[in-house]
Amino acid sequence: MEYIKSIMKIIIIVISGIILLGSLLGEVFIYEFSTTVLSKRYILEKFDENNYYDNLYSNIVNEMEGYIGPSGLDENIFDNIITKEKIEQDVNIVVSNIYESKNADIDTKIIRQKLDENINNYLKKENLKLEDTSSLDEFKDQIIDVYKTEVSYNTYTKYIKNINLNKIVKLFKIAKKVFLIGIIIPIVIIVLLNTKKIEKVIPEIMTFILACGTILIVISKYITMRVNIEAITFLNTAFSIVIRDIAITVLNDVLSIGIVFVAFSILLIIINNIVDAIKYT
Amino acid sequence: MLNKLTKIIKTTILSVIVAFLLVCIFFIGVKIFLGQQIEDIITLANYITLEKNNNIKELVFNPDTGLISYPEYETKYGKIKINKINVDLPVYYGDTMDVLKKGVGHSSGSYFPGEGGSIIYMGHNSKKAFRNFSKLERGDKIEVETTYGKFTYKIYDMKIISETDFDKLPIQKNKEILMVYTCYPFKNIGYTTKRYVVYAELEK
Repeated sequence: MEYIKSIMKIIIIVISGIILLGSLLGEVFIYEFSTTVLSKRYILEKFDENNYYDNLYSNIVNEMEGYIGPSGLDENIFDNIITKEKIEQDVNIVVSNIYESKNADIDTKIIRQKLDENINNYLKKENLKLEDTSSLDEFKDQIIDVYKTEVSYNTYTKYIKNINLNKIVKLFKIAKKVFLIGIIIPIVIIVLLNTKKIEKVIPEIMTFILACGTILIVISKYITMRVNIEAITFLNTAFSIVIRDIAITVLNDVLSIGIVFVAFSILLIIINNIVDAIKYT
Repeated sequence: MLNKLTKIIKTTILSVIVAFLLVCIFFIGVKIFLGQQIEDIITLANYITLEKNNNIKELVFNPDTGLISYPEYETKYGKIKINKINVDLPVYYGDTMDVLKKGVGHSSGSYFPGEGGSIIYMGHNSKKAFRNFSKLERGDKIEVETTYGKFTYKIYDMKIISETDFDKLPIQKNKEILMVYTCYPFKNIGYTTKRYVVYAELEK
């Protein structure tokens, strides 16, 4: 009977430990995603840190200049039509649209007005008169489209908006609570099963935390080995720099948490074993 | 004292072994149940990675099989010369806005000079590029100098097409044809929706 009891106890401890391990892993990933990719504030901070607005400004100017060659116009027509402040303001609108499910539009009237003004000045200066303005209007539409596409990545943001980040954030909040319960209950069970030998509680719990830490380290190292993060190129240079930074930060965080778990659990196991050895001498 | 130390080491190692076994079980489980999905995600992640190699690779050409190694995207691999209209421009592999600012772009879906198929080049209609395309006539020569050889093409046709008329720029592998196009009208102000294409066949 005693034998069956102890087998049952081991089985319950292992199951509790596995739940603890899974919940810890879940909690770490939920925490990591909630504080990075799913946080509007974090994304805007990363944009700032990586000079996203300056880089995007250069990208837009570069893209617009590509249309100059066949247009018969001069590059000066783009003078002062966009500013870094305007880009920052519009990027904030786009980010808010994604994270807060808003539907605010980017206002391109000012850009259009300035472009019209610059083109008219150029035509006057060069003494050019146009009978048919359709191709010039088409050119202006293309330039406005370049701005809108570069600032909002409209194809992708439409897709992201369909995902509904708000719903995901809510789901993550629920999952966080579930994982927290998944951490507390197994610990309580392990404590209750070891009331007679309380010194066993710490090594048993710490073994699962050690496993969790090791898994986190392996996951982080595995992704770093298999994916060339420094070479990630998505949408444009400005955005790629931010994506790379976020990916590296998330992986470094996972690695750091893993190392802390491993160090902390090994230290507690050793201390517990020392105390145990001294106590039973 | 030694016994105590041995006991401490033994119990610590035991905990580490149990943890290691748990890690192994975890990854075996992941491999069995999610192995394919993880591989798919990694493939997808690597799909958006682009390694930029700034060293220009030497192109290796085999007359029987064509190019053995291809240039990096957006790198220069040759020159196009049209003496009649004083064109002497670098040719880049790719057709991005950046490339067209620097010279002539080579459509990445088309063949390379010497490979025996359709080659598509494009350039702006600016003064320093193809503004004077209208002066070209049948029989005029276009020279393409690459790092692996020099190719001369003779113009046999010219056409004005719409920007969406891709069937007028056919990709085929039976005959080496060079198609060079630019925006039309040449002195247009604004955005052009037409293209002026010059067709030339390999002479030697």
